[in-house]
This record gives sequence, C-alpha cells and structure tokens, in this order.
Amino acid sequence: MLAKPAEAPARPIVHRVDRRALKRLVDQNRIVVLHLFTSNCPACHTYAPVFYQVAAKYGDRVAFAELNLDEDPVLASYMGVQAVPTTLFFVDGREVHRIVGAVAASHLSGILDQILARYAR
Amino acid sequence: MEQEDIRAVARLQQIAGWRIPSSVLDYWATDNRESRGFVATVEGDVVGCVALDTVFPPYAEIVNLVVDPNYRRQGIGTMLLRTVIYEAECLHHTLITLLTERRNYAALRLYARHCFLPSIANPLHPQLWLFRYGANTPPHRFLQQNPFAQYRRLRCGNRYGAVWYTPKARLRLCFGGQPGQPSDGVAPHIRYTRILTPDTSVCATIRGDGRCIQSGESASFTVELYNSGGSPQDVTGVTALTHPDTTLVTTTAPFTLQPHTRYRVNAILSVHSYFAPPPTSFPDVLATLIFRIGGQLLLATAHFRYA
Repeated sequence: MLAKPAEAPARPIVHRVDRRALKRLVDQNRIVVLHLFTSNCPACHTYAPVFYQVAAKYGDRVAFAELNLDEDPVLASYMGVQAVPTTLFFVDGREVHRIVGAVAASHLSGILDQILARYAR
Repeated sequence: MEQEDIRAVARLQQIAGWRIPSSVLDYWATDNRESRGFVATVEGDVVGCVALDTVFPPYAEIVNLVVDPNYRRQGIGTMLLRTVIYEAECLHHTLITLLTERRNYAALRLYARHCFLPSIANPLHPQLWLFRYGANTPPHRFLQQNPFAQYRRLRCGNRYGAVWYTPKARLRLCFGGQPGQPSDGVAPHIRYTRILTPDTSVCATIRGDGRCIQSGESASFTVELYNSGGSPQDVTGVTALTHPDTTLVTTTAPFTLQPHTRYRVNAILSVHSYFAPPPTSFPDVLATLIFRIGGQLLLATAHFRYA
C-alpha cells in the first residue's frame, strides 16, 4: 500500500508574529490587520474569537496577525499603544486606522470593507 | 515663583529648619511640568512659600509650606495651600499628599480644615503623611454615596491603611510607603482598594511590582481583581495613569467579573530613554490603574524603584 503523501500544512488564518515576522508580513502583503494583546487581559480574551471570526471571512484578501505585547513590551511605546486590545490596519506598510478596545465583529468588518473599497486594486 | 525669589525662599526654608539644595530651588523657579514653587508676597517681600510636585498622576505632593513667623495668623498659609490644591486639581492630580510633623498642631489644624486625613502614621515616628482625596478617587466617590461614613486609620506593623465605614458599606485602602522620608523610602501610594456595599463586593490588589527599572526598560505587573459578591460585576472603564515620559499598556473595558472569581489584569510599563525623575521626589516610578465598577471606583498603584 502506498504511503499517503503528507498534506501541506494549512495556512493559518491569523499569523502569530513577533516584531521581525510582522515586518516581513507587512512587506509581503498589501493590507495587514494586527491585533495587539497581552496574556492577562479580560477584554482581549473576549475580543480574540471576534477577530478570528472576521479573519476567517476576509482571510483570502487580507493578512491577519496577532502579537503578544508581553513578549515585546517596548513595541507598545514605539507604536503609541496605551491599551489592549488594539487593532491596527496597515496598507502598503503604513498605518491607516486603529481601533482601541474590544469591538463587535460587525464594526471590524465595516472598517475592513471601507479599507478594501478604498485601497484594494 | 521667579528666579529673584530664590534667596528669600531659601531664607524662609532655613527659618523652618530645612536646608534645600540650590539645585532644587532652581528647579522650583524654572518652568517645568513636574514641580513648581509658589510664593506669597506682602509689599514686594516674600513672606511665604510652598512647592507642588505633580510627577505621577493622580498623585501630587505639597512640599515645604512655610510662612514667615512675623506674618503668621493672617491667612497666608491658607491662601498658599488653597492655591496649590487648586493648581493640582486643575492638572487632574487629585490625590494630594503631604508630609508634616506629628506635633505641629497649627499645621495639622490647617490641613484638617482642607480635608487632609492622616493616612500613613506611626506613633513611634515624629512625621506622618496626610492624604487629600479629590474628585475621581475611590474615597470621594464612596463619600458621595455614603456621606456619613466614619474614617479610621489602620496600622499593622509596617503596613498602613484606612477605612471608611457605615453599617452597610465599607471602603478600605492599603498604602505603600512609610512615615517620614528616608533615603531608601517609597513614595506614598495606594496599593489596594476594597469596596463592600450591598450591591458590590470587589477588591483590586497590585502584584509583581517593586523591582528596579531604568530608562529605556520595561516591566510588567498585575492587578488582581476579585469579586467576592454573589452577582457579576461589569467593569465599565479602565484608566491608566503614569508619567508622560512612560507608556502604560493595559486592558480596556468592558469586561465582567464573575462571582467568586479572580481576574489578573496585566499591565506593561515602559520607561522612555529620556525619562528623568525630578530631584525633589522619591526615586520611584508609579503606575496607577483605576477601574470603574458599577458606580464605584477601585484604584491600585504599582511602584518601581528608578535605578
């Protein structure tokens, strides 16, 4: 019996990134949505499923990433982030919008629709 | 306070028995956001002075209030004190502290008239810290809802606290700091708040602070929230307060505290490379989180030693 060929690993819906991987992701993708969180943050735990739900819907057109600020706290002051969860939207390497706090999926989708309508080629 | 007032202020401080370094006097006279001096003049002569430190919101410290002995009992001290309280509150530094002598009864009467409460005090120590709890602080909010609450100072060894209580409600604070201003001391701050009312029973405690931190470094700490009541409590607001030359990242609201459940809220403090504490204050970095739970406020301040 022939061995079954190994399946290619599925592309993650949301990339777990560090600073270097984020730079690479932003260079490789036109539109990137980044979720910044910390491990012990009740609002982040509430927001994560919402972010994954929206990522599953828009994952074919937009790159989604998440970054734990506990692992890179200095990044927060570089990016001017003062509260988590914060969602940053990058287009062509530039931040075009940010959402502070846990929002509903409809709100996040609405912002993404506007960004796609404006910037998608 | 202007540069030409420095000599007169130094003379007044000497009358009170304090030798203030000229660098500090210069600092008070310069225009900066962290510390400023105020003088009272009579026909052009400086007859009273005071300084105000506003380094880490919501805390402010009133430093070295002195009135010339020949001009006392004329309301000059009251005027200076009201000026600095007004100035601190305009800058949203509503938790005002000051250090005074246990046996300086005239000063204690003046401060009591302006709602300063003895907070960090030990009968074995000649000095004590007084706190004034202004707008948007847990005691202020609690007293709005329980105006006849009684106040009692608590002490257990080297741990200091305060409680406001009525038969049905109770607010308890636990302080960090010590009586006096030892060189290895800690700036007075609130580490723990607990509120017990018929509707709410929650507390906030700081965990994981106290380490040394330098410019350009980061440190994380945790605020432990515990809902010991029988019903869920909604946290409707979180405010993070610290020095403008630092970044404090923490959670946003809303989230819900389930009954009999502990929540650990993480916060990350990053001190920018250009941060420098003023020469007049303790070498500390304070980071405060205020949680709005129902109609109540919980406050907890983390303390790091600036090395």
